[in-house]
Amino acid sequence: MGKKKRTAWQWFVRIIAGYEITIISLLLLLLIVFFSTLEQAETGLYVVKQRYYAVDVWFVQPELRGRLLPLILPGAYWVCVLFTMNLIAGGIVRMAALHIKRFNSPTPKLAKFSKFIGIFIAHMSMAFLMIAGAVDYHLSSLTMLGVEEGTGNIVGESDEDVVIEVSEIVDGVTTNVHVIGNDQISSMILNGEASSFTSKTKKKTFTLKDFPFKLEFEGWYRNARVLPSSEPTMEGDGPVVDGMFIRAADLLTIDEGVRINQYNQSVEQSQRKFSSNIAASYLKVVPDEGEAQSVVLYDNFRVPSTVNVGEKTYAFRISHRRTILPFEIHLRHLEVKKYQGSLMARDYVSNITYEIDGVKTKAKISMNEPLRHSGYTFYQARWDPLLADTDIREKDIERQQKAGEELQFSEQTRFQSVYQVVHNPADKWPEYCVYVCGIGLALHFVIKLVMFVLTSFKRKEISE
Amino acid sequence: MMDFHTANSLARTGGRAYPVGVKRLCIIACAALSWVLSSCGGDNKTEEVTETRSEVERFDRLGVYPTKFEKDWRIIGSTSGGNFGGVLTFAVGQHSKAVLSIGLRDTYLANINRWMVQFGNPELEQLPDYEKITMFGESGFLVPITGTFRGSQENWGMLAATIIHSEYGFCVLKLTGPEQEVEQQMEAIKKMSATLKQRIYKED
Repeated sequence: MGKKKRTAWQWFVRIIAGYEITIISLLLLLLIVFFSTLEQAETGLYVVKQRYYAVDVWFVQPELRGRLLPLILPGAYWVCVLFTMNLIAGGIVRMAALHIKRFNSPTPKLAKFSKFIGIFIAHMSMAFLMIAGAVDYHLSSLTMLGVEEGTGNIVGESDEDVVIEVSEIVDGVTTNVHVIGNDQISSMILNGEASSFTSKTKKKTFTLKDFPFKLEFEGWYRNARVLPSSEPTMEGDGPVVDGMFIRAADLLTIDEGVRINQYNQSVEQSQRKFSSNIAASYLKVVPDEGEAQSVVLYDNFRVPSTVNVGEKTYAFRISHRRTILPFEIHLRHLEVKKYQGSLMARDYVSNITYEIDGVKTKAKISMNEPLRHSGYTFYQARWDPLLADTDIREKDIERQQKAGEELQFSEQTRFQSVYQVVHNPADKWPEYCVYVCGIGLALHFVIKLVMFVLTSFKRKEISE
Repeated sequence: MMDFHTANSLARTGGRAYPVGVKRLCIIACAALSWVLSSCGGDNKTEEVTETRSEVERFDRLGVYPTKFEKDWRIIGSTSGGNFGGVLTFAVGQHSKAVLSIGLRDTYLANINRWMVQFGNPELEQLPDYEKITMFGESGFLVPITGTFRGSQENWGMLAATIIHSEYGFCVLKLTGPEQEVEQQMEAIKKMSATLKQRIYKED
């Protein structure tokens, strides 16, 4: 008699929960992490994140020293999805079903239960860790908040999250601001990544509620220059609009690791330099009635571009995502502490005050002690002197730096402190997962040890 | 003993028993994968913009803004002057450009003679009787100049500028472009000049 045939569903479960998928997905993740880490040293964190780890990346061909390697890897996001499904199906559901079945057998129940409970807990924590990663990816936000000494600020701006803002202008004020988020345009970047088999879209039409026009969008440049039409054009330049055209520029990324900048700050150069990339794009405004109008958007323009539709005027700009924080940070004083006899900063401490519901609270934010409140975490990222306030100029600082002298700022110098503000609903989840995994594994090994000792005693008794 | 259906199935498949469910599963997986891949990317997608911000922001440059835009006037960025040097740059009509500058020095005549030379005309010795206009609440002149522009824009044949003198220096809204187009915008430049306002910022 033949074996009982599996149904399609059973085959699906068998495959998705199998050890084969576990091994394959872990191997793929190992390769992805290996090659992306090597590539990050050359191209920077942002490019690598977009090429290997973004949700719209299906396949990627690693690149090393400017050469594409003869290897195609799947996108990390989807490998993680597969691994999580495998972990839940095989490591949790199937394990639980199997042991519940055995639990009902005539053999001692506690022994059967104890054999898997520790591993079951560990698997649960790992699955939760993967879910925490997904929550972090989709729901967390990062913004940079600059606050000058003696003032407060509540609006942060993201270095990486480029957005397009469309608003109506009424009497010198922009209102009814619509934001085309980075998630809606990230797959349409025209420069920045090579050999990433992303789900690229060539053209998008955006509709905006209450606005009498559509927007046609064919991609954007992560770093570009806008030049006058009098400049000679090269291959790859964009069309001339309003007497200007866009020329793609190389992405500014790291060329060294962490370095000491002119203010003796240890600075993550990729973050610092990446913020110098200037985004640009064309945008076509197609009114419901009337002629279409193209505009050039450039992050360096100091005023948004405008288009008249009917009797109203609308403003368009390419910008960085702004985040209005739930409370204002007021910087009272910035302390910079250096290692004795060294120019290297030991710590920067921001003495701040924040107010919530009328209650003012004093706090400190330093390099190793961020401020956590209301789901937001404030990390001390960097600081800058406000040179306009003093008679010290950039050339004075360069001269002091070259001479190896310690930077001397006058007492009147005010500083600006810049914080990296992270809002991550799953901020603490990985920490909890580690605790739970530790408990599960500890339980498993303790049970194993106890069972071994008990079994040893029994064998000794039997042999006697 | 094997039943008839199993034997028939084995005979048709050359002796191997393929699970029929796996075949169906593969077909369904391929169809699902092709649907997923085809729905991502593509040549043209339409999306609705749902994210909004309620914050109201100033729309001005150095506190200067127009309260009303004439039909063919749009603010654009500038690669030189304009948003980098002048205060505001406008695209006007199809081929013309207007730049608002604040804080120019010299005299009325010196500024006008500079434009005269730019359009290949001899300098004036005294101010003609120009039409009067208003900008920032101050009285000034509308200066039309025709000629051949000595610059990169070869088809620019006319300049129309409104100029006033204020406590900040000379304020000029200068429109240049093809002669026919600038002629058509003469009323518009007067109206745009009149709509310009400047915010006064007070230190708290």
